Amino acid sequence: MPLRRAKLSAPSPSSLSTDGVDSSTTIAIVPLVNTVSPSGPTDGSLVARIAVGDDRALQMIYERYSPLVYGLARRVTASTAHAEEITQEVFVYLWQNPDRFDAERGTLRAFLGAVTHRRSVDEVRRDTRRTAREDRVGGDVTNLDLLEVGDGLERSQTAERVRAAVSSLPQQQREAVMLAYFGGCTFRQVAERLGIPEGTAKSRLRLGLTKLGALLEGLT
Amino acid sequence: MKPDEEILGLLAEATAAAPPAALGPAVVVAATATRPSGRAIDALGGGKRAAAKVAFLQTIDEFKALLADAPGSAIVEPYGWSVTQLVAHLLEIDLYFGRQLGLWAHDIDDSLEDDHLAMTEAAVRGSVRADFDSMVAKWLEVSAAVCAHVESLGPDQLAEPIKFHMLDTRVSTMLVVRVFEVWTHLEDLSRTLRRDPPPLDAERLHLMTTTAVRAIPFGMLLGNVDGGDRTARLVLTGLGGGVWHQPLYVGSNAGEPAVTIVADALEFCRLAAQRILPADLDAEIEGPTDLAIDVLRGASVFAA
Repeated sequence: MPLRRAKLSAPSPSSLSTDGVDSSTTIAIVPLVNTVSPSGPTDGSLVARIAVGDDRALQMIYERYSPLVYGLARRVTASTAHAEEITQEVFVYLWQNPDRFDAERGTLRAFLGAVTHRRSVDEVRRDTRRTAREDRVGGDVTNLDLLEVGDGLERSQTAERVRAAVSSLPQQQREAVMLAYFGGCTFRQVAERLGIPEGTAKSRLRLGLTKLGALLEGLT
Repeated sequence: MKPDEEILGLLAEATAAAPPAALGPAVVVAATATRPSGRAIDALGGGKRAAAKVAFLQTIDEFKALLADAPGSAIVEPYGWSVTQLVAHLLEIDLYFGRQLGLWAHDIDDSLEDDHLAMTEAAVRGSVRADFDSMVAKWLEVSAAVCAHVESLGPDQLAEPIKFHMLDTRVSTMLVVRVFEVWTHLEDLSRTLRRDPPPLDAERLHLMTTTAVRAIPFGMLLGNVDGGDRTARLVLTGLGGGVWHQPLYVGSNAGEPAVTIVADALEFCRLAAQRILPADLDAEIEGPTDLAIDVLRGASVFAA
């Protein structure tokens, strides 16, 4: 079974040589068209490669998404040290659990964003220095100016459009979204901070997210 | 309308910030400390000799089960054999395999020993009008003897050398190569019967992909292609996949990869078994396309 239908005149592998191969074994060269696209491998392809242990694929995913992960973690925890730890944890988690990502159910950005946010909020809730943190950020996480670009990173068109969409929300909805997402607050904490019933906080957040979804339609 | 997680993911774009430069390498080190580079999440230490034995016996059993429902006159592609002729081919191969394992004597045409298909051609041709049930009974008897012997082999015996189609290898490697062969026939027969073949488990498939990748330098040599001192990086995705840095010349050591080929593990096995052409393999190539073509042609080394 092991050999293609070829006639070998060489008697053993130790004496295999190119001279010992019948010319009939030559196969016509057929051009391959499936080379890597200019934008590089897709996220789904890279995660599949991570699943089989390709650390280069992990590096490529890291290059694509570490600013998003690090920036979100830093924004929510208001700590570069926590942000670094969380960034490492998020990518190690992806390396260990690539099968948790399903490209048919959503984007890798959403997946990593959700993992980062969950981990960051856990950190904030554990952090006994939260008061100090709020002091550092001026106690107002609803301030849009806090959505600043990180060091050495140009703001992307996507980021600009997101910022514009958040800016266009009615103030009440924007406050709810900013507190819940970037502030890591629960519904109850959002309600307390804004001095409104919890149900109202929920509905403002829901309305805000619905509007953002419409404003960001078409962004990939 | 976007789901909430997508909206929140986009929101995170607004706070994107470059992490410290040293963090990237540290993340890779931390990740590979938990699972080494090159090890698939579903790989259970493929390559173990005992696993080769289990894989062989399991694949034979699956083929026998499928054969029980097959009509002898049905045509099996790609060779246009009847099922009876396919069984005649397997009978001849198992008689030869048993001979190489030292179980019995069996005459073959020495001039055809290096060609898997040619060495069974006369038997296949001679079985055109053979009775299907008798042919199956003969093969089951021979195959059962081979399987009983394989089942009795311990680790040392599995590591012993064997010559098969004039290539020197080890019994355990030979068993994986035969898994390749029988699995390929099983897929062919399933197609004839319009059935889904039994799914391959990760460990068995990993044994196959490993063997197929390791055979590439031999395939290139047989194709009259000099791999030189270059190395190809094979990234086979999906069940049974993995990452290999494969030197392209027999006996040489792996160096910095000259080309990376990313493809599905199962499809790569079909390429290795010559059931699809390199041009039909959905592969991503990083590096010289010409070299990738040579590697993929070299990978098409198994005939079943």
